[in-house]
Amino acid sequence: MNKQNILITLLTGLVILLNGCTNPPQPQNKVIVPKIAYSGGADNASYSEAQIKIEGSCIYLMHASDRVLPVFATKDAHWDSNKHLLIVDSKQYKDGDTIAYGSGEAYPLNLNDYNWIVKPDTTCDLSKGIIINQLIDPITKK
Amino acid sequence: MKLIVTTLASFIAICSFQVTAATIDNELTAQANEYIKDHRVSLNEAKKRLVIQNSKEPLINQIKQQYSSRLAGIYIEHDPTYKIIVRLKGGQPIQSFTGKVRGNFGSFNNTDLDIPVEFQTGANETLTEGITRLKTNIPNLKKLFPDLQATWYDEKNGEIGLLVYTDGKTSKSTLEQKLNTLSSQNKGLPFRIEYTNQKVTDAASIRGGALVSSSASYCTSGFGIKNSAGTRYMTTAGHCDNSLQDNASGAALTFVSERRNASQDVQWHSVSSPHTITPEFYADSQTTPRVLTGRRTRTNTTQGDNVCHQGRTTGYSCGYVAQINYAPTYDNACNGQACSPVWVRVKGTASGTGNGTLKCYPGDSGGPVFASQTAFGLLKGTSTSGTGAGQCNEYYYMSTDELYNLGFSLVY
Repeated sequence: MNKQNILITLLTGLVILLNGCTNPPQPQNKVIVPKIAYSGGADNASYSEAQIKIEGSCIYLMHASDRVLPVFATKDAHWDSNKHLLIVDSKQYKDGDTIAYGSGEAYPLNLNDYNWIVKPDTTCDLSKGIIINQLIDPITKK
Repeated sequence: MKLIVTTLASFIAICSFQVTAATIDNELTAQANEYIKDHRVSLNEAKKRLVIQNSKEPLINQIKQQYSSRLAGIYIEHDPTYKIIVRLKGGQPIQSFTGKVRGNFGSFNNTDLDIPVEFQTGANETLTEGITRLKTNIPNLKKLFPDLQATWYDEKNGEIGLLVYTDGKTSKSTLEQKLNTLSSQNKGLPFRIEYTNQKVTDAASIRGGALVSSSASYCTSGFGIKNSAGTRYMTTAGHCDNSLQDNASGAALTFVSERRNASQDVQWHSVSSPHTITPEFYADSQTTPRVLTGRRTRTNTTQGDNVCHQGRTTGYSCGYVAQINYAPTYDNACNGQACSPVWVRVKGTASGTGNGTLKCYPGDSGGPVFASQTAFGLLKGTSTSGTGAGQCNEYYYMSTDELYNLGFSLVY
């Protein structure tokens, strides 16, 4: 093996070594935002606050330790994978944001009861769900 | 003529005095009859003691003034002898004496009455010092005893008393240990614990139009209802959380049941003694309630009727009945069922054009819909762009008819 070959081998090894030191690319969550058809802006008029929490491909609304799977009946609701943001009717929400909504009590979701535009991932916890007709800004007044 | 008028006026004055005196004597007798149940004395002695109690202020003030630098407490002892006990700081003895009070009402009016005044010396601190010790220790007491319900200075013995809630799981010996530490930090001055298994709250009137909340959500209470046995409940919307409390009073509302279907969206709660559900609701004020006097059925409600509502997010506002046979179709309006056309729709103007000054928003659910003192229904849902006047497109309410269909009647 001549010097040139040794140098090429060493450089190749160095490149491989350096590549090995960098973090492997993290797979971005494919967050699924459950969606059904928009049925108008009216809603039940209780007031609830919750924090957005992303778990794997699922999006939850957290009330203390209680998690509720939202089903959006808004005009638009989708996940922006690049910015890692939930977009609902042109507004952006990130993991941990506090949101508010009407709707009322959560209840077990039966996937067969809805005409899905986007069906939730079956690995998500469906024991408590809520249809969100409109996300509203949290109000501090109580 | 003048003489007749004067005589008549005097006669009326005498009569009214006699009526008043008779009333006072009757009240004194009634109270004395209660007193003798607790103390083995005659009815007349009981009356005399009650008159002394009512007339002793000058004597007590005189004692307070005379011994102000040493006064540790004053209290009444009823048995075996009715007397005033005066506790004093320091050892210098004071001779007991018989105090005199001038009876100021009933059959003892203007009569001199005797009451023994006995001095007990040797108290460790004066009343002022004791109260200061109490005030100084309150923040520390709350830290040491998180379930502290009340604290006081006892003039009878100079102790600082603590009313501590315990659910039975708390170790009383641990609490007593804390108490001993506290006492040693206070020069050995006495503290004493009384235990209670009831948390202390004010006896509250539970009304409609009030804020009712759970840990993560809130609604508005509607109207008080009662079943055929007369048991009272407070209502709110069925889609609200079930674990609710009346925020103003802190009273827990005990969920009884709910109905969420094509024509009903209501839940009802009981309250425990000493709280009571009253025939009142907050209307145009969130502090001064209005008395409910009746209700309007759905069939007797007319399109164009002016109705108002109270919601804890938006407060008080009024609009006009747009339809009395409305079936909301938004998702989950009727808990998975198709809503029946029995809901009432309210808009901000009678013409239906524009929103007027109507307000509605999430949090108003369950709140009372009314006109004057007449109940119309419970607010169910809203279409709104904000909390301000004119931002409410419309709201829907459940007629009070549905409460009656469930076997209830409104409390009024």
